[in-house]
Amino acid sequence: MKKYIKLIILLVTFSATYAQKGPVESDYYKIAKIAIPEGLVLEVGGLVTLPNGDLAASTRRGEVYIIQNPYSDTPNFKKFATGLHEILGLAYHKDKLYCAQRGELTKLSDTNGDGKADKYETIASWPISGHYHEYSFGPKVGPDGAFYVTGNVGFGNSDWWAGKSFVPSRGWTLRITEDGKVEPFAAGHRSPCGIGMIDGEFFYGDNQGDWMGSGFISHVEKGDFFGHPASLAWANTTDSPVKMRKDLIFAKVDPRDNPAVKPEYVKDEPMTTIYEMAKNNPGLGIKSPAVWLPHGILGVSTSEIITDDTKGDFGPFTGQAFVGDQGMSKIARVFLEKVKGRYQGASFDFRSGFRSGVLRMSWGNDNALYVGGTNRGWGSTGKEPFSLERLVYAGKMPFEMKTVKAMPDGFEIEFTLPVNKATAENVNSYDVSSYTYKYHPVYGSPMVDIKENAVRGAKLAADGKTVRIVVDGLREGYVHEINPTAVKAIEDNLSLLHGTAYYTLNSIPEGAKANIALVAPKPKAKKAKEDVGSKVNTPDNQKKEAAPSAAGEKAKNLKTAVITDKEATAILAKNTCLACHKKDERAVGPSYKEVAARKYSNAKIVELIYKPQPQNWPDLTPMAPMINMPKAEAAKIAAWINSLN
Amino acid sequence: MKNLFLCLFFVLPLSNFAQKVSFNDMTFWKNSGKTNWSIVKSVTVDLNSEESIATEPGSGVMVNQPVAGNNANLESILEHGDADISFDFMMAKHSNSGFYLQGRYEIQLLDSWGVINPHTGDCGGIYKRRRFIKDQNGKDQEYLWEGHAPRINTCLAPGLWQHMDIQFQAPKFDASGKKIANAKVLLVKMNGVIIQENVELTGPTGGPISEMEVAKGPIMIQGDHGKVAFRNMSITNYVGKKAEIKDIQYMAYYGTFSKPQDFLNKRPDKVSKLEKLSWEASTQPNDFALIYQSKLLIPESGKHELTFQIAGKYSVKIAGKEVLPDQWTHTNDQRKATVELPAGEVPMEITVYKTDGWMKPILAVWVAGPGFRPVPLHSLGSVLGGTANDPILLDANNVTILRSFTDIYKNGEKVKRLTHAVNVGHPNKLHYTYDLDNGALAQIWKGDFLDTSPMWDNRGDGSSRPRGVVLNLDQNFTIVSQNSAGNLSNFKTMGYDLDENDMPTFKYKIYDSEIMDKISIADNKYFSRKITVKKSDKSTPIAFKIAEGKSVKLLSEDTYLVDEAYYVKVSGAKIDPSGSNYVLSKNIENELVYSIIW
Repeated sequence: MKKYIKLIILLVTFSATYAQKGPVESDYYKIAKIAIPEGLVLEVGGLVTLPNGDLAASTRRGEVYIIQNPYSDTPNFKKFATGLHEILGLAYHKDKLYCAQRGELTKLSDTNGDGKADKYETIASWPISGHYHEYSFGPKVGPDGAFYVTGNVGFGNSDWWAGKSFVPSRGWTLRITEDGKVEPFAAGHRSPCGIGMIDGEFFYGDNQGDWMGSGFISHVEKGDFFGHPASLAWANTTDSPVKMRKDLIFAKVDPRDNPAVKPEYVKDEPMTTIYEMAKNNPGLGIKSPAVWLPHGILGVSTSEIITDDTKGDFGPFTGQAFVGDQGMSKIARVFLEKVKGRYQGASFDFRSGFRSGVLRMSWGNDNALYVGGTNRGWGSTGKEPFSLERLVYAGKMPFEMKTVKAMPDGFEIEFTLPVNKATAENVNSYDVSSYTYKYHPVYGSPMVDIKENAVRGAKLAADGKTVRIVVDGLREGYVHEINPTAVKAIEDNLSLLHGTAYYTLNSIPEGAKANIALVAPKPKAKKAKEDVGSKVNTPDNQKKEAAPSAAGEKAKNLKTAVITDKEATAILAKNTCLACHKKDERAVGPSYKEVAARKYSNAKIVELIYKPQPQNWPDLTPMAPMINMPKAEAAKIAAWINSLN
Repeated sequence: MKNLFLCLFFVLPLSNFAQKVSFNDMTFWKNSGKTNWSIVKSVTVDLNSEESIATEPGSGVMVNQPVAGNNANLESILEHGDADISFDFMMAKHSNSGFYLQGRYEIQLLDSWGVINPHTGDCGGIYKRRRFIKDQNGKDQEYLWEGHAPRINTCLAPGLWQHMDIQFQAPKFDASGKKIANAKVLLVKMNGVIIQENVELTGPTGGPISEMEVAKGPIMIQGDHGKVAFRNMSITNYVGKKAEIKDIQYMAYYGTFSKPQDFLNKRPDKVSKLEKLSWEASTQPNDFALIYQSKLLIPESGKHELTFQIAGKYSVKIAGKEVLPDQWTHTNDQRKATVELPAGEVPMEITVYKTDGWMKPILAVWVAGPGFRPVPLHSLGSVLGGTANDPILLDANNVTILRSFTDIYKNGEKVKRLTHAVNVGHPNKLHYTYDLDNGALAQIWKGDFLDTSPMWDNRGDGSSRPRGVVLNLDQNFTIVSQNSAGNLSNFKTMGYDLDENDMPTFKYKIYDSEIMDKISIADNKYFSRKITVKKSDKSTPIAFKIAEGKSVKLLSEDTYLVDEAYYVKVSGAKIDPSGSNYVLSKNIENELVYSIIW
């Protein structure tokens, strides 16, 4: 009996400790591994649920498996097709499987009913130069039965950093009909692995790279141009619907097309954004992202886009989109709305912790989300080389911002749970800032032109869940980062599971302003964000970027005490370091313990944060310079890393 | 970008100091007292009958036509020690011979065409050792041991010229004549594929001129077994001392340099000395510049060949003269410089700088000269740029299809990359690549199926490579033409169907026709291709180009020899000149069947 009491005490203690940690993602959404037979290399490149509930998965090694009864502990894997060329997509249409190989769209048929494809039919073939990076993604099938396939650019030889379109279709969306007609549809892609249909419309996602400041998703319409100029090599062809031309970009932005010199970030230079390009060159189909996915926060390599059509079985986000991320092994959530005829909206963190790099997703017949992963050659936070998992809603409502909508003078936030009115109507509960990304030939962009936006009013609606906030200084073309940091749910006084919405404000809607008495928020400790693009006049928007924060300058002289793991985690998360690093184990980059073992001085670590030397870790993906990280924080992290020894 | 380039290849450069064996006469050889060996202009083998060789008088080819009582072995006057030997050889159907290094160690020559799993006694095998043990009746019983089978069977059809490259290291003896190191077959490359490597030979193999091992011995070729011919034989006999390097001094600069001027006028961060050349004179694998000044010790004046493999940009000066200009090369790339050098000390200066962090550092230099094999002047550590990658090999234990990019090589040079290629592997070790862009049989090979590491390891580059002897049929593009002169503008690939054995039938449209193309394997030995045409307009004849080559020779009523490299068997075809080439083609209504014998 005594033993039992002890055990009970232990259990109580344990759950008490557990409760103190606060809710985590896995309390609401569970990741369950699907067993894969030993020896089967299921590097998922395509995933689709068949009408009978079986899953079909295509692999980077060119095989297609039918996974029978994935809902059991022992699903049956049946090899349906083999020998295809690095298939990064799979669709089911009119009783047949279709996949995009590197160079063609292929229809797979089993004509003799033995469960194996015996007819490999080329629906359409497109040119390819043979560069490794020339992947093709898809197809996605539109409501009209047309197939959409996207193509990566290749890269130069000695200028291996420069995206190139060596042959037509590279950097393009192709629209292909069942009878094999190929229509060049839209251009400007760099690495368009993210593909999906939302409300019957084709959407695509790209990730950070040259000419791509950060990851994003966008609606793809005929004739659109999304930013990467390489594809425009073919904009003049007779069947091209794309009006944009390279010289229009290069008149504005120096392409720095020198095979000997890799373009690096220039701090003090005139800059433009893809939004400004679109605004200043109307009628050319330039499309800035519908929704940005901030690099290193919501992802580093955008993959599948999928709409929640589970009618609530998967939780409160029906109708919203989920966007996978290969490098960070996670899934982001996107709420889209149409303002002045075009898409914009908010992105949110949703679920991390997948075993490999999230590449493809499909709804099972059980309305769970099936997630296929691979990280070979690309690296990912999840360490397994490949994975197939099932993401299941636990049936318990998470406290999240369900939607964020743009308003003429601010935003309307709808929470998933009723909120505490006092916290919701206090303007000091909110923290809003805005920033954008540079459009340039450099690999990626830090957040630039960062400004704090004062929240001047907040009003809770009668439903107890919807808050209208009035925000100063809204800027079109900017991401507005909305943090209702102190808003609490009534239930358990919960804080938000994910505290930030990233709203891409392409257009400020017309309409009535909120009928709220405006107040001045209390002065807040200045955010420790340093603007790297400072002291630069941005000719397109005529706005001066903020000067570096005084706090940052002062920090240089401060003696740095070692912070706790918890504080370090907060800083690391904020600066997106956790996208690639973990404390104890190697992820995309080395673990902090490994860095500590190198015994660099604190100053050297700070230097390496700002100017990494990839040659120090030749087996790992090179790190991007973290020029956005405030000096004070870098110094804290350096000291913390060295304390790990 | 990192790890894009997966494998480091350290292929030792082959020597270009060979002496040719003349086949204008038999003066290279000892007089055997018999007449089975003779000099002729050419030989032709009858594919259909055993031990049948027809000859044409003249010179350039040496042929053995033994009969009972006139079947001597052939021995060279030259005695060799360490040596590289290469030659072309041709086997009559069912024939057998052997090439004995130092008259003692046999590389088997045999008609092993079609053998799926080769043994020690198959072509390219190192024959077993043999001794006779007396049984209880006092009778000699043959006892065979050791022997080394070739890795794969690379043997071509009888009557085709085949090529053999051998690198041999002679046994070594101390002053008292005691053997202190076994003989070694460093390399046997047959038809371009390595089939033996670094094989230590504990003693002579069966049938030597003597069981006693020596420092130098003659080449011996077996003449008592069957009909065989040779041509293009060359020998590099390594008798000289090796070159060395000394007084290596280096200057190291650290920084990101885009051209030599960026560091040349700076003060070096470090000046020091090295025992052997090594990139590790730099303390970091990137963002460095190094200038190495050294002296080559050249034992004998003459032509020397230097081979460099250095990651980054580098230039080389020898005796003050630039022999290689400043140029970027990848970790796997080699550059060569051939220079006349005097005996004695010759200064060599290498200036290297590297800024691409993703590229594994390497610095390797070999020198070969009169009388010595390429010797490394670098340290072992200087070529250990990174960890080895485990290869991902795909065998065809059943019919196995894999699409990939496929690089087509001609004379060792990559000539093009097929981007819509289908590789088809067969368990009897005959495989092919089909080019979907042209409806063409692009290459065939024998041996193992594919190395998929270039595609499946890390990011890969989307390509796979054949593991065997490859016959490039790339010049046979434009399989279909209308009236022999169409283009492929309205060509459309339609994919392929698999039969019950998973063998594909490729389908495409051209002009007004639908073509079905099936390539199968006949008699376990050769390819048979059947092309079926479904036309909507019967009046237009379609001409199929079956083969194109510098030479297309009719051997018998239905057998052609193309470029002396392979046979085509087809009835009713014709040969037409086409530019400087000849084209074998056939007009067909419904069906074309032909064989590629190789």
